[in-house]
Amino acid sequence: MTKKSVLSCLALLTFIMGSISAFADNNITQQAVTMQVNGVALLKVTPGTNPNGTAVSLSLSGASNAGDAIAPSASNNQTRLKITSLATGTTPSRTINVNMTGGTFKDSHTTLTLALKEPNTNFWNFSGAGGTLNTVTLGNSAGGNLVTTTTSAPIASNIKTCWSGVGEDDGYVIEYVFTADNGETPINPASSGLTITYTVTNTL
Amino acid sequence: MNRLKCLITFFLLIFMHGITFGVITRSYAYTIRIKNIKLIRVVGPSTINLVINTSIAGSSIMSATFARDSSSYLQMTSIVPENVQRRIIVTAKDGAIPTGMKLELSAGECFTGLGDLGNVKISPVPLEVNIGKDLITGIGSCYTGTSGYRLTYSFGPDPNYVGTIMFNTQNYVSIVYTLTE
Repeated sequence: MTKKSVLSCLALLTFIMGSISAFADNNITQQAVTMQVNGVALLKVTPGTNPNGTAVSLSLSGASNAGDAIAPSASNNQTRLKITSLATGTTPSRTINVNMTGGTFKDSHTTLTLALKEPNTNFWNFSGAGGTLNTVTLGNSAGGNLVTTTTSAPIASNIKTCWSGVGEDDGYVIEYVFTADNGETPINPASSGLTITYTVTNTL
Repeated sequence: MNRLKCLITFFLLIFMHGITFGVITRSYAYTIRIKNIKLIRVVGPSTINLVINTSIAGSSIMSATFARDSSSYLQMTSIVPENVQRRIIVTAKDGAIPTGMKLELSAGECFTGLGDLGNVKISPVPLEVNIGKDLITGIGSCYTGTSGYRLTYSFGPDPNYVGTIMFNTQNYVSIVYTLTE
C-alpha cells in the first residue's frame, strides 16, 4: 500500500466519522412551528325575540274603529346582528354597509330608517372595537330609495377585533323605524317588501 | 549428558512444585468509566402548523378556536454525575409569535423507559422568543424508551391582548430543546 493510498483512506475515514457525528443526537434538538391567524369577518342576522324570525313587519295601522287615528310610526328592535371580527394588519378597521333591494318609497309619504344600537354587555371589546354606530335613511317619499343594491350606506364603522356573543339577545340591536312623513297619512295604501343586506368590509 | 538430565529434572521439579504447592498472584487495575450522556431528540413532524379559525358569527375566538398539536414526542437518554440533576429548557427562536396570541407548550408524563425521568411542568409553559423556560426538571440518569414525553403545542389568543390580534399573519418560530444541568 502506497503512502498516497494510506492518506486517501484516512481522508475517507475522517469524512465518514464527521458525517456520523453531524447526524448524531446531542443535548440540543429543535422543531419548527408555524402559526397563522386566519381571516375572520362574520356577520349574521338572528331573530332575537322577534316572533317572525328574522323577517320584520312594519305597518302604519292601528285603527280598529271608525274614526281611530292611524299610527304615525311603527318600529322594531327585536332582531340582532351578530359579529365576530379580527382586525387586519394592513387595514386595521372594518365597516358594515347595508344595501337594499325592493321597496317603493317615492311619493309614499313615508320614511324608513335603520339604526344599529348598542349591544348588551356580552359583546366583547365593544367600547374599544365595536365600532361607531350610525342611523341610515333607507328611503323616503322625497328621495325614493336612498339605499339600493349599488348605493350602500355605512351602518357601523371603525370595527376592530371583537365579537358579540351567540346568545339570543347578543349582538347589535337592529332598529327599523317606519314613519309617515310629517304625520301625514300615507297616500295609496300599499304593501312593499324589501330586503336589507349587511356586508362587513375592510376599511380602505 | 547426565548433567543435562539433572538440569532438566531440577527445573521440572521446581515447576511441579509451583503447581502443586504455590499460588501465583497477579493484580490488574481496571478503571470503569461511565460516560456523561446527554441525548435528546424530538420525534414527530418536522414542522408543526397551528391555524386559528372560527366560522360562527358572534362566537368568541378565545376558546373554540384554540389550535393544538400533540403529534410529537421528546425522547431522552441521560446519565448524570453523582448528585447532579438536569432539566430540559425550551426556547422559541428565529421568529415571532403573532401579536395578541400566545404559544404554549406542555410535556406529558413519560410512561416508558426507566430511571429518574424528572418532573414535567403541570401548567403549559408560555413560550417567549429568546427566553428559555423550564419544561422538565429533576432529571437524573434515565432513558425514555421509544415513546417519550408527549409534547402538546397550543396556539390561541392571549386574553390580555386580544384587541391587538391581526388576521392573516403567519409567523414561524423554531422551538429549541436543551438538556442541561
